[in-house]
Amino acid sequence: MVERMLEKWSSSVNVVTLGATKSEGGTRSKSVKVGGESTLPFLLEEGGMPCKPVVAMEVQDLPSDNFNDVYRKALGSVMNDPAAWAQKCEKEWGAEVILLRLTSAHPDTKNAPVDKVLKTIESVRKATGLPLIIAGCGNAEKDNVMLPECTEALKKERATFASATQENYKRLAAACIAGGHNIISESPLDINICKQVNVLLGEIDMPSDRIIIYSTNGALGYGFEYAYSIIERTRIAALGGDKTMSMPVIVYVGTECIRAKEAKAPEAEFPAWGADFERAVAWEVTTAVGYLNAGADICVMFHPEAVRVVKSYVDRMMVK
Amino acid sequence: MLIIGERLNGMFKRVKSAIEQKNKKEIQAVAEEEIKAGAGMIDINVGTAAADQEGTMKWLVETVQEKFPKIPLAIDSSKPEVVLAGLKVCRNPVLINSTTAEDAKLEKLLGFAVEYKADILGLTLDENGIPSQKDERVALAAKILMTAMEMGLSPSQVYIDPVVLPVKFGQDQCLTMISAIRDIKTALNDPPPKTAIGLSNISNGAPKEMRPLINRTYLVMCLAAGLDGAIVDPYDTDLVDAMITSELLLNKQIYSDSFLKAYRTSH
Repeated sequence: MVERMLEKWSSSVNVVTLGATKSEGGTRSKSVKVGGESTLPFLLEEGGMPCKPVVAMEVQDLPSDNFNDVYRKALGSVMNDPAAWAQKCEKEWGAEVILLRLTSAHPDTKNAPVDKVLKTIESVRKATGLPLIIAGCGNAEKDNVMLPECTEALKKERATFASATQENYKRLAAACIAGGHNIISESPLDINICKQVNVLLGEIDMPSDRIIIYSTNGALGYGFEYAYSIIERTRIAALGGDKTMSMPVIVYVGTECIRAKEAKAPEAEFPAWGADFERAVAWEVTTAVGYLNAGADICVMFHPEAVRVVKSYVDRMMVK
Repeated sequence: MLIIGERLNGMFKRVKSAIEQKNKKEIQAVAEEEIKAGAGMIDINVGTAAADQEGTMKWLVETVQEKFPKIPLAIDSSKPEVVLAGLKVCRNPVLINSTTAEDAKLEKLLGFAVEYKADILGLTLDENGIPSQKDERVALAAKILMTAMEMGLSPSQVYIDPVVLPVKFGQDQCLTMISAIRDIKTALNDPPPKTAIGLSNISNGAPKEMRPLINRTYLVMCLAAGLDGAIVDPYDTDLVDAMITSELLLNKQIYSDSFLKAYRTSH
């Protein structure tokens, strides 16, 4: 009989709670806990995964040009109405969390004013009872003005805000601390900067159980292995007791996959690549499943069919 | 690296007078300062502070764990009965500090380790003293480890101390000890035992102002050879900084620009 070598770790990942229910002062119909692992992904004999990884569905207030016909058909008319989109994600497509990306606010798109953005947030808040993640437009100057106001608008909802970066974290972090929200700590595919941002957030007293790591990721075929190795190394550091790396990890699967050429190119142009629909869904599923096995706690996705498959995958992997 | 704080020792005036006055708060304050400074384990040594060594050890252990119910404690005495007095009341994770490779002592203290589920630190010395040759120290380390494993301890419960000697009185011994650490970590067993040293002895007899420099330089050299833990003065910030930086350079911690702060946040 060969002895089974099981790895035992000394520490675990922080548990972060997304969303606040009525009893906690918010209006979410439920809150969602992520993190808490004391093992590498799905090795349930070695340690625990008290909170299963979750799928967040992304809603954009100005849909990206990268959506091809497969997505436009799957998502349908709600693409032009963030509140309806969010509601459908919850009611029909099985989303566990909603990520609202404020794409319309970017100076290169519509440069939507803050009050308009706040109205969108309010309509989404009312349309869904799921915990909310609010992602800025990606323009630091605009986000610095806009996101702190968004934290005010979602007071007591324990929302999650993206992102704090090494050069730009103080304003958003201060607003999240004051508003009782979570924050996403972002770094550009660099584990040393990932750690540094977490240390900086700690220095200004952002509680570590309200931080989620986004260490940047690509889709399958676009630096996937490198992003995977960073997430994996982050997780190993957490399990080994590094408190500055012990946060749950979020990956943006959808936004990366819809711009991957192999996922979005029409079948008519590349007949050898196979059917559009299967290809698009498979790209999101494969990317998500890969990152789940690196240690991702939240996969942010678009396609309802891909969401269904990934949720079912997680359920099957969580059986001990 | 595991920092074993050395300040809770009856040879220090502050601790001695706290023991005499049964001043629990002062003892707990010392432990708290050590933990804040980075100690992952508190060494408790009655020293010469009281005639009743067993009773005092018991009181010190109870006093520390009352305030810090999780911090591992090292029960430090060369007398087995004093170690036993500490073990009997200790509820925290515990290290016996220490046994030697002398047959009778080794068996007795390993017996304590088994009975009280304690880790144990073994000095590589026996009836003939401390061997001056590396291979002889490694042989004594092997004896301690093998006996411990025969009695049912796992290698991870065993710390080997290849015995630091003062540089002033035996310069050649500094490198001998480091070579012993390397061999113990690579050639004895897979998985290997842990290693820990009483660091400050390296600078014994040297001028007071030079001691911290000698201590931290030697610590860095030992860490590069694979040292796992050391009984040190955690109040020595330069020493702890050098240790943290060594761990970084040995790729045991992930780099960040604020690596000192990052380490202290985590420990």
